[in-house]
Amino acid sequence: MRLEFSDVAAGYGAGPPVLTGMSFSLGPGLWLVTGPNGSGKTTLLRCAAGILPPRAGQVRLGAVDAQADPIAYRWHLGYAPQELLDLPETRAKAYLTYLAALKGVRPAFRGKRVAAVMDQVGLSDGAIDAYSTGMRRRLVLAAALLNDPDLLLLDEPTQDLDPAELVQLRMLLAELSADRIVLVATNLPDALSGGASGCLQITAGGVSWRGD
Amino acid sequence: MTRDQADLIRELTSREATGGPGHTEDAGLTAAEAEAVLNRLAGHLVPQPTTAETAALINRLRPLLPRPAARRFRTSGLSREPLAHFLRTQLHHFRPLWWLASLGFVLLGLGAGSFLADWGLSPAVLAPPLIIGGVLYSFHSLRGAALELELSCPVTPAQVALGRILVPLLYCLVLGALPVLAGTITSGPAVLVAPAPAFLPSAILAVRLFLGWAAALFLFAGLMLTLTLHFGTYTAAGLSTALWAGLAGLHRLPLSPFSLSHGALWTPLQVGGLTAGLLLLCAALRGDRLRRWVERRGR
Amino acid sequence: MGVIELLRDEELCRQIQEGSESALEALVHRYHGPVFAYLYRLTGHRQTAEDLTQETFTRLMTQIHTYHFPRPFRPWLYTIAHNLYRDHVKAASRRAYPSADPERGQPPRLIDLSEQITEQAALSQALRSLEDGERAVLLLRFYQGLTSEEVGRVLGIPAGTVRSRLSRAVRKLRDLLEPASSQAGRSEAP
Repeated sequence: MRLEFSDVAAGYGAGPPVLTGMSFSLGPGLWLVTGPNGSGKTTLLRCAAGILPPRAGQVRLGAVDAQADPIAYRWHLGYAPQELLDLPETRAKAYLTYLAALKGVRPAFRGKRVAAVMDQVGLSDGAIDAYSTGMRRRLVLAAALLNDPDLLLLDEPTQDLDPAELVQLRMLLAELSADRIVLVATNLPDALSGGASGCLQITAGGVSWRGD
Repeated sequence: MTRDQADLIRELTSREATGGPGHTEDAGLTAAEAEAVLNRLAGHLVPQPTTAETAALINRLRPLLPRPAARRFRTSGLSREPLAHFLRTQLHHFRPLWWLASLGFVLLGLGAGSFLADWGLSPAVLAPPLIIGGVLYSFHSLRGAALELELSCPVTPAQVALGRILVPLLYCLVLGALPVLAGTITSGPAVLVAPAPAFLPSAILAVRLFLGWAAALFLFAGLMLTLTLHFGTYTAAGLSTALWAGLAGLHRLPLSPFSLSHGALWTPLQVGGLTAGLLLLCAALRGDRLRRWVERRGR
Repeated sequence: MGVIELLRDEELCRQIQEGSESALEALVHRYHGPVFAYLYRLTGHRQTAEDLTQETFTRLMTQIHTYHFPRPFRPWLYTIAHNLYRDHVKAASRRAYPSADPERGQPPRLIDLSEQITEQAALSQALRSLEDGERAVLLLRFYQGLTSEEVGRVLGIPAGTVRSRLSRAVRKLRDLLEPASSQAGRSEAP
C-alpha cells in the first residue's frame, strides 16, 4: 500500500494556497516531513488524513481516493494532531473507547484494544485535564493507533516530550514503521532521523527529498 | 593460505591494482610481499565483545522486532457499524449532570407555569433555552484536536455534526412531553386562554402544545447549528438567546411563537417554524458548509 | 548448534522481519564481533567502537522492513556501520583524527604481554597511518571478507577503485612494516 499525492494544492477558506504542486509516493517506513514554520507541514498531514480536501490534485491510499471515497479512505488511517486534547470532565480511557467506536472497532475488542494502545504508548487512565503535556501528547498518539492503521500521521509528536519519552517514541516509531506508512511532521528531524526511511522537505514550490 | 587470501593476493598483484603497464617495478607489489603483509595483518588482535555484552545488545534490540501479529487486529477487529450505533456512541459526550440539569430546567419551568400563563407565555418558551444549552454543551468541546480526531475517523463531517445535535434535540423533544402533560392534566383548556375554543378535547390540546414546543425547538436547533458552524458555539448561543429574548418579549403579538393567544394563523405559523427549523438543519449539514466549518474550527 | 544457526544471513533477515527472536539472536551472535572489530580498527577507540556497533544494529533493526530477500546482507550491514563511522568522523572533525596522529588511540588489550605488544602496536599504528579510504577498503576486503564489488557498494566507489586503493594500502603497509618483518618469525599470533 502506498500513499500518493498527485499535484495536490490545498489551503484554507478563500485564502491563498498553502500547498501547491505537491506530488510524492510513499511506501511503508518512517517518513519525516520538514520545513520552516508555516510551510504547510500540518496542511499536508490534514490532506493526507482526509480532513482538508485538496483544492486540486488527488490523494490516494492504495487504490482508494480520499475525495471519491472518504469513508473507505479513513478506515485505515490514524491521525494525531499537533494540538493537544482539551476535554474537561473526561477520562482518557472513556474518550479512547468513544473514538474506538467511531473508528469501527468492534464492541467485543474495544476494551482490550484501548488497554493495548494505552500500554503501547505508556499511558495510564486518568482525567485528561489533569494530564501533563507529555501525557496528552501520548494520548493523541494512542487515539491514532486505535484502529491499527496502515497510514499513521503524526503532527509534531516530539513536542512536549522529555528525553526518556523521546527515546520511547523513537523505539515505538521504529516498531510501527516496519509494516505501515508513518508520516511525521516535525521541526526536529534530527531527533527521529536515525530510523527514518526518508525526509520530505516542503519548500515554496512543493516538496523535495533529502536522503533515503 | 586460504582460497580467499589467494584470490586477494592475485587481485593485489594484478596489473589493474598496480596501476597498469606504466607502473614501475620499485613501487610494485610481489605476491610474496603481499602474502607477508597479509600474514602479519592476520595476527592483528582486537578486543572481542563478551557474551554478556552480546546478550545486552540483543535485549536492547528485541523491542525493535517487527510485530506482524498486530495485523490480525486490523483484519478482524474492525467493522462498519450502522448509523444507529454511531448515534449511540454520541451519548458519551453527555454527562449525567447535563441530563439532570435539562430535566431540572423543564421542571422549574413547569413550577413557574402559572406565572408563564399570567404573562401570556406558552410553555414553548422553555424550549429554546433548553436546546441552546444542549447544543452549546454538545459542541463546545468539538474544536481543535477533538474535532480533528473525530474527522479523521471513518465518519463524515455531517455525521459528526448530526450526532452532536441529535441527542440534545431528541432529549429536549421528549422533555417537551412534560409541560404538555402538565398543561393538559393540571390546567386543561385553561392553559390556553381565550379565544381558544373551549370545546377542544385534551388530546388536541396536547397536540397543539407539543406542536408549539417542537416548532420552537426545531427552529432554534436549526438556528443554533447554523450559527455554530458559522461563528462558533458561544457566538451562536449569544445570538440565539438574544433572538429568543426578543421573541419572548414580543409574545403579546398574535404571531409570536410563544404567545398563548392562538389566532387562525397560529397552527400554520407553528408548522412553518417547524419546517424552517428542519430546513435550517438540513442546510447546515450540507457538504460545502461543513467544509468551511472544518477549515475554520480545525485551523 | 540449532538449525537457526545454520541459516544464511539473508534467511535470518527474512525471519527477523516476521518477528523471530531466535533469528535476531543468531544474527547478532554472528556479527557483533566482526562489526565491532571493523569499527574498532577504523576508530582505534574501544568505547567509540562499542557505541557505533550498538547504533549499527539499532539502525539495522529500524530499517529491517526495507530489506528485500535475497539482497546480500553483509554489504548492507557494513554500509550502515561505515555510514555511522563517517557521521561520527564529521561530528568529531575538529578533533585530531587518529590517522593524522599515529600516536593516538589505545593498543588492543592483550593477555600475553610478551613481544606481541610490539607487533600488535606496530600493526595498529600501521593501520592507523593509512588514509581513511585505504583503511576502510583493507578492513572490509581482508578482515571482513567482502568481495571488491561488495566493498565498492559499501563505500560507494567503483570496484576498480577498491582494488587500486587496496593495493596502495598493502604497499604502504609493506613499507611501514618492513623493518619489523624480520621479527615476524619470532612474534607470531597464537
